[in-house]
Order: sequence, then structure tokens, then C-alpha cells
Amino acid sequence: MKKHLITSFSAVISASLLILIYVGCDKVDAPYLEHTQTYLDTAQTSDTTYKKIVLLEDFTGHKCVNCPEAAQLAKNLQLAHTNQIVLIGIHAGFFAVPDQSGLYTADYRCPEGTSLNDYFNIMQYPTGIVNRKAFEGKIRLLPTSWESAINAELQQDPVAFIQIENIYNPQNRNLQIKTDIKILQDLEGEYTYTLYLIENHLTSAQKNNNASVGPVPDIIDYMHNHVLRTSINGIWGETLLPINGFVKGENIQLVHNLVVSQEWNAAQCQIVAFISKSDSHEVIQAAEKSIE
Amino acid sequence: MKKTFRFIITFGLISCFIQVKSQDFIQHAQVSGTFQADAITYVNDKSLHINDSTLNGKRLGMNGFALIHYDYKNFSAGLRYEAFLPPLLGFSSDAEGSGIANWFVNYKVGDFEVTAGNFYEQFGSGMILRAYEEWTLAYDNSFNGFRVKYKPTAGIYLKGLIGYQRDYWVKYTDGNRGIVKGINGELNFNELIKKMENSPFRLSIEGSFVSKYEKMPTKTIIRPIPPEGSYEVYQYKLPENVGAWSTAINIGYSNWNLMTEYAYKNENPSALNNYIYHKGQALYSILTYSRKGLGIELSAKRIDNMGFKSRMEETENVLDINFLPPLNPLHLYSFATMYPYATQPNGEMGVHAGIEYTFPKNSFLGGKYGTNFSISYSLIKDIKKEALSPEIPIDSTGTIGYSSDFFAFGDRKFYEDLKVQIYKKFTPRFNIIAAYFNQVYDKDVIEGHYNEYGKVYANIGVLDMTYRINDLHSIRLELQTLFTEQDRGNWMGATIEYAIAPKWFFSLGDQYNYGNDNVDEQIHYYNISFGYTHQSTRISLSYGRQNDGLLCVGGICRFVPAYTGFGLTISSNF
Repeated sequence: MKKHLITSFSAVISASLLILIYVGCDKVDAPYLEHTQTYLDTAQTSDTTYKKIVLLEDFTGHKCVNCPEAAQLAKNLQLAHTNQIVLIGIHAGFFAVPDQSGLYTADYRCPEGTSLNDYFNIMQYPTGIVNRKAFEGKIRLLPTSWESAINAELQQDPVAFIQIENIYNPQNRNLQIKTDIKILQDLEGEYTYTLYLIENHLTSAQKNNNASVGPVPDIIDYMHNHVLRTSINGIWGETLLPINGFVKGENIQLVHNLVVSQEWNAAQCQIVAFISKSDSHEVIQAAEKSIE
Repeated sequence: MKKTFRFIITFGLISCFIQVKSQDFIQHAQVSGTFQADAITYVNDKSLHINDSTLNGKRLGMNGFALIHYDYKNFSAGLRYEAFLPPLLGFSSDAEGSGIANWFVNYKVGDFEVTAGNFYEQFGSGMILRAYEEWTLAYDNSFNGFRVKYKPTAGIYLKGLIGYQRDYWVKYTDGNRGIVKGINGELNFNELIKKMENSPFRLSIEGSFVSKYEKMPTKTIIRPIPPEGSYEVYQYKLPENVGAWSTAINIGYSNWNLMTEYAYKNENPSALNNYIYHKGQALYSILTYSRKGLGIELSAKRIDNMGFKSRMEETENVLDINFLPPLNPLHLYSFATMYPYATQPNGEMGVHAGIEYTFPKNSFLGGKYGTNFSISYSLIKDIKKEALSPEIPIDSTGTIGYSSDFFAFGDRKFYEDLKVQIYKKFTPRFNIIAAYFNQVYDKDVIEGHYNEYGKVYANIGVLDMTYRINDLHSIRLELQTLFTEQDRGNWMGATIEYAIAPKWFFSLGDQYNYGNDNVDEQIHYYNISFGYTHQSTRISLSYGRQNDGLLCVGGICRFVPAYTGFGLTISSNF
């Protein structure tokens, strides 16, 4: 009887094991990378009409050794999803503090960046936030999770579209930002519209621990891009009227003015715009446009 | 969800009370519990560059838990409440929050046992599956699901489980982590075969299989092509089901024991291994000898691409399906733990030897009370990795990554640790522990830098003296010194403790980094503390500076930042 019992159970266990092994392993054959797209002359690809555009805020610092690799990843994601990702580099926290002397005297921090850093409780760098929204339960994302969060957002249809026109006068450095928002789906609730100014091509030292990105441990002439400089209509933007929602097909026009600081190179500045839900700050659509 | 859960538990327990002999269920049940809270109030400290801005308003941190366990005959249930409000410095901000972290119900019917809810489990030495909890790291990778255990006859043990793992307070949803299935069987021949029951020869074998299913996101890579500014986009082929198996044998004869386990993992491209498709392998072997007054341990390990998490993109200390056992022993003295080793899942190979011997009383070296002597040595190096071709660098993403000779050590030494320790009792009231440590610590590899710091060579000496004034009062003086020309240079430290058994202890200590090249960083890390124990409740208060560094338990590490503050710990159990 006992022997029979053991035999029966051995058979059950063996069968379970075989089933588990059969369904528990996927065979992956080389080549492990599948070619999906080719872009020739990227400058010509500028069609953004009614596409979902995602905002990635990268919390970084010039003394953060893992940040150049993350910035490279963000750039690659931008290339893989042409004109569908808007980047902001927010220099804040311990690694962004400048030294009194030496390589790291540059200060790319701004009050808005520090406020965002505190609000989102950023404690490690690099950390990314995609559309100010939680993915898989987490709003603060390590670079390894950026792509899947961005892909999840890009799978959604755009609900609004932002078109920016910048009129810049280099003599008096006055900038007029004209915005045209087109509502693509009925929207309920209250929304805000936010405008930030970012600057590219800022050259100074950056710590680095990845030799494939640049010299280790210091990249002396690192190019800092998408650096958040200021907000134009407040850190959390302004409420879009009416406050009870929008009907598909509606158009909203807004005009903002700004004097571009002498400290910033206008030729390298861009305006970043995004619409977000007023209560949760979740971004539903973003856009960017060079000043000049 | 919590309300629903509480309702189910309450309803279930009420139903049980009604349907089963309710009086019996209360009167003959055993209920036990444990509670602990660690709180620290942080203060500004110019020397450590801690100010209002760095603390960001979080002047108080608190980690706490309460565990309740109920046993009634073959039925048991329990729950664990946790609160991190907010977490202490150095713990992940993802831990912030409070609630019922774990719960379970378990019952046994004959040789059959079922657990539902959260449970911890280990197959073999854990190289393909281990779920456990470590409070000092706030580490908890428990499974939430079902586990069954069955013993069809004496000497045969079977286990099966299915579940998803805990990731702090993040709720499980489709795609945010994998589902893990596993099966394990053990044959113990000394129990299975009557003739071997009392044999000095012991033999058991064990086999396990684990599989992870994870919904795969799209992952791409960019490769530039001519003309400049053009590029190609490639997509990774990612397996949704990743399997791993292991087999172990345990042979013993008299005082000797040999355990060897081999583990294998299928292609598992992940953020941990830079998305390579190399198959994982691990071998762990440990030989021990033990008799009164003598213990010997020899062990060896090889790990090759064995990181295994239930989320492909995860790189933090969460969602580990497996555990890679450390070779190097855990040290107790603070300077000996200043340079701890963190297991390198992508590849390491090491050996360890340890011997402990007690010279008998009244012998030449034993003296009147005997002398305990121990020595241990650990060496951990990289595995040998060869490029697949001259054009493809080692560890290139989207490739096999490298080839590796299973028995060859790599060139790079990750860690080396020699410990010599003597315990000598001079009188019934006075004893001394003297210890020497020699460590080589590859700071870049262990802390994740790229050729930035190099190796740290440290020599550490410890003198630990205890004098029992009488049966209740004792005083202990611990002197430590660390010499190194690298990192932060030399240290010296002293701690004096006064204990009044069984209720009180008082402690005063200081660690001084006098050898730091930067004069401003030559800091005293002082600490004063006292504790009071009443029955099973213990309260301790402290004030002082905490030195920053890695805290490692079992090869899993977290970074502890420097801080100054008042600490309060309360623990209790019933």
C-alpha cells in the first residue's frame, strides 16, 4: 500500500515537474536583437501632428556618477521615439551642489528644480519621472524602468495637442510664446498648462563611471542638455479655463511673455510646455520648441 | 483592499470560532507576538554637512513592526504590521508608509501542509529560490500565493509554490512583477532506508525547479549608422518565462559533512546583467568537520550571471527570487565591517577556509581555563571572461556577453579577508578577545564605481576586555584600530560598556578618523547610549554620530549615510 502510494506520488510529481519545465522556459534564439526601424538623416523627421508626446524629467547632478549613462539612455529613447519625448534635466539635490573651486563650480540648480525635487521626494540620482505619473505603483523611476513607462504612455492616444510659436527679439531679449492647444477628446475635470525654459549645450565637468559614455571618473567637457532654467507661468503652471473640462475639437490660445536672462544663451534655449491634471499633476501632453 | 482583507480575516476567524469548538479555539491556542520600533531624531551637524536643506524637513525617522502569531493544533495564522513614517535615513523612500505587510494562514492534515498568503521559503542553499526577511536592511522578498508541502513517506519531502513577491507597498498588477512557480523534492536516505537509520554515513539529495513568468515590455536599443545622425532601432527578444534548476547532494560521515549544489539558469536578459543572454551557472560546496573543541570549514563558490529577479528592469534590493550565499564570515567588530563584501551576481569565484580550536584546560597553550583560537581566510575574485570576438566587447548588450572557463579564476581580486582571533580567560572574572583582520576591498566593484577608487588595503586590530566585578556588574572595554593608506585613511576607536544584569547597560564610544587626508573630515563619531530591560521589553536611548558606509547582511548591502541624532529603540515580545 505504502509502495503504491509512493509510486503514485512520484508519478504525479514527475508529471508536474515535466509540465512546469515545459511551460516554465522560453527558448530564445540568436540573433537576440530584432531590427525594427532605420532613420536616415534624423533632422528631416519632424512630423508630430497629433501624436502623444511624453514628458521625462530626469533628476540629475554634475557630481552624480551614474547620471551621464542615464542621460545617454534618455537621448536614445528620444531617438527611438522621434519627436515623442520631451526631456527636462533637473539639477537638484546633493550631487548638484557646486564646489567652491575645482572642476565642479557650475551651478545648474534653480528654485523650481529644487521645489520639484522636494515635492517628488527624490533621494537618489538619477531618478526619472515620466508624465508625473506612477507606473507599476512607482512614480520615481530608475533609468532601467524609463523605457517601459514611456512605451506604456505612448500606447495611449493623444487627448490634446500643443503647438508653440516663439517670437524672439534678440535686441531686447523679449520672447513672446504663443500657444495653440487643440482638444482631441472630451476631457473632464480641471487642467493646468505649464511652461518651462530649458537650455542645451552647457559645457562643464560631469562625474562619470561608465567608460562607454565618456572618460572616467570626470568628463571635463561634458555637454549638459535640457537643463531646467526657470518656469514661465509658475512651477505648477496656470489653470486652463473653463475649469470643468473641455469638449473635443475646442481650441485654446494663450500668450506669454518673458525676458530671456543674459546668463542664458537664447540660441540654445527651448520652451517646454505641458498640460497636466490639476489635482494629480499627471501630464497628458507635452511639447517643446526652440526660442530661435 | 485593506478593508476587504480585514473583513475576510475577521469573518474567517469569527466563522472558525463558531463552527469549531469555539472555547477550545481560544483556551488551547497559543498567541505570540513581537514588536520593535527604531526611531531617530536628526539634528544639524556642520562637520557632516547636515542641515535643514539636506534633511528636507524629515527630522524624525521611524521603522517599526508588530508580528502576531496564532497557533491552534494543526492550524496557524499570523500577520505582520509595518510602519516606516518616514523611513530612517539610508532606507529606500519606497518603504514609506504603513499597513499590514504580510499575513498567512497555514494548516496541516497528516503529512500534507498548505500555506496561503505570505510565506518565506528556501530551496537548497537558495541559489535558485529563497524568500526571507532582514529587518536591518528593510529587506523582504516574501511570496504572496500558495505553498504546499507533502511528505509521502519517511525521507521524502516535496514542496511546491506559486506566488508573486513583495515590493514594499506596491500593489500587484499585471506586468509590474513576475509570477514565480517552484517545485522542490528531497530524498533523505537515512530516513528512507531502514538499514541506514543509525548509520554514521548520511546521504540526502535534493532537486528544484523554478520558473518566472513576466509580462515583457518593449525594449529597444539605438545603433548609429552612416551618414552621421542616422541610426537603426533594434528590439530585444525578451523571454517571458525564465527557468532555473538546481541539484544538491549532502554526504556526511561521522563528524564530516559535505554539501554541494549546482544551479543553472536559462537566458535571462535583465537590467542587472546589461541585457545579455548568457546562461547562468552556480556551484557552491562546503565541507565541515566538527567535534568538541575543533571546527573546520572549507568552502568554494562560483557564480556566473546568476542574478534572478522577478522584474527584469529591477536593480535595487527588491524582488530577488534567489540568494547567493556569501563565503566570507560575518564580522562583529565595527572596523572589521567597515569594508564589507557584497555578492556580485554577475560573476565571482571564491574560496574560504576556517578553523576554530580550543586548547584544553591545563595544557601549555590552554592555561587554567582553556584558550579558544580561530583563523579564517576568504578570497573572492572575478570569473574569467573572454570576449566572443574581437569586435564584440565583453558584456555587450544583446549578445551572449562572453564565454567563460568554468574552473578559471579571473584576474581581478574583489575581496580578501584574513581573520585571526584568540579568546582567553585569565581569571573567572576577566577575559580578553584579541583579533587581527587583514582585508583587501575592491571599492569600485563592490560599491559600483568605475575605476575611480581602486582597492583598499586595511589592517585592523581589536582588543576586547571584559571584567565581571560581581555576579551583576560587569565592565567591558573595546579598543579598535584600522590602518589603511587608501579611502579615508586610519581610524581608532574605543567603547566602554557598563552592565548591571539583567536590566541596565550604559555605553560610551568614539570612532576617530584621524588619518583622513582632508583635515575637515577628521571627525569624531562619538556615541553615548543606555538601555533598560524589563522582562521581555527592552528600551534603549542613544545620542551620537553615525559613520556612513555599507551595511551588509548575507552579501546584501544598503548604504547608511552619516548622521547625528537621538535614537530610541523599543522591542518587546510575548
